[in-house]
Amino acid sequence: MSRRFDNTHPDPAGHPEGKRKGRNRDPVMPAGSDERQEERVLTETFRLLPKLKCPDGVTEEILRLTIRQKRSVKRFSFVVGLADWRLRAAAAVAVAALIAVLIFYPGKPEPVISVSPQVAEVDAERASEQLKWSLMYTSQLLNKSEKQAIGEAVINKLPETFRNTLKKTIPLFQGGES
Amino acid sequence: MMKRYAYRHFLSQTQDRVFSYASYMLRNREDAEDVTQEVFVKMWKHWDTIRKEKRDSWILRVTHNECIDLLRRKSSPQRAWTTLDDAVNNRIVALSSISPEQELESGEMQKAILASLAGLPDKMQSMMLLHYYQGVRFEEIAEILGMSLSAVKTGMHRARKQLRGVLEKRYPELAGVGNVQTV
Repeated sequence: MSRRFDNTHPDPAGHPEGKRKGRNRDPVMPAGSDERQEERVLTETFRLLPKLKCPDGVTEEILRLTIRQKRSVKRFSFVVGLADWRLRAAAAVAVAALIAVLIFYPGKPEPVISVSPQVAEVDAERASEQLKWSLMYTSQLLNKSEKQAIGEAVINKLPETFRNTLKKTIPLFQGGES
Repeated sequence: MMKRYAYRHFLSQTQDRVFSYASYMLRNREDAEDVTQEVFVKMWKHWDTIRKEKRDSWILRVTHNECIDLLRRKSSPQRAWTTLDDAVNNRIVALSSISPEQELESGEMQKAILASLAGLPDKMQSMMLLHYYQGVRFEEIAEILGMSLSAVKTGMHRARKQLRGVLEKRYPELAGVGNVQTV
């Protein structure tokens, strides 16, 4: 004899049929006929309780907060979904480019700390030429002043009459040289 | 698109069940409406993460938790039955499958059980409602209430015993109604 209850529940006790044999050790499964009847009455009575209907206003509010609110988001996600492969391709290219840059880029050159100003080659040549000329001119001036100084020193050692005569004649010599 | 249709279908299938459970647990129509709404909005948010075969137990579990949270927030031990008394009296669902005599008896019985259920702890009420009213198996009840199967079985036994005691104490006249002498 089956010990399952005679009601419409699939399996009120939650046990497979035929499991209970011998003594009833489970407190849930009533052993006596009174308890079985009690179980049956409870089941039937509870199941006859009114099925309360969810008000339409609540259903509408649920739909408004869920499906209808989500539409705009869904449209956006739909667009994203369409462009998904494009986005993925673009992302892949971007990542590849980034990796390539990281691997092959020589790196930012270290700043050259130089005291000398950066001068163009042409300017340097010109400056060198000018320096040469200025040095030559300076050398000439030094030669001239040296000769003059020697001449004056010699003259100062001579007697005054001879010195005066010499002073008059030196310019004649110098003018004759130039 | 499929998600929307599936959700809408699920909503139409389970909204009354959820609302009924919340109503019987909270005994307040407005609170039950709020909980139902909140539960289904939550379900929509987690729809993709809930397996199809787990949806029923998921929604009942969340409903149960929401009800318990609300009851704790309100912390009103004496909850009125007015809304459900109305529901029982108005017979929202026509009990056409039973005879008038049976209906009379069962109507009295329902009122008695509903009133006596209030005297049980929340967890026992949940077990009784889930098992006897919603037809949920013990394994599922264990999952919904976050208990072990043996704890559910023991709890059910105690709940039934307590309910019987409350019924006998409050409604001794029901002892003679039809087949419910022992209840």
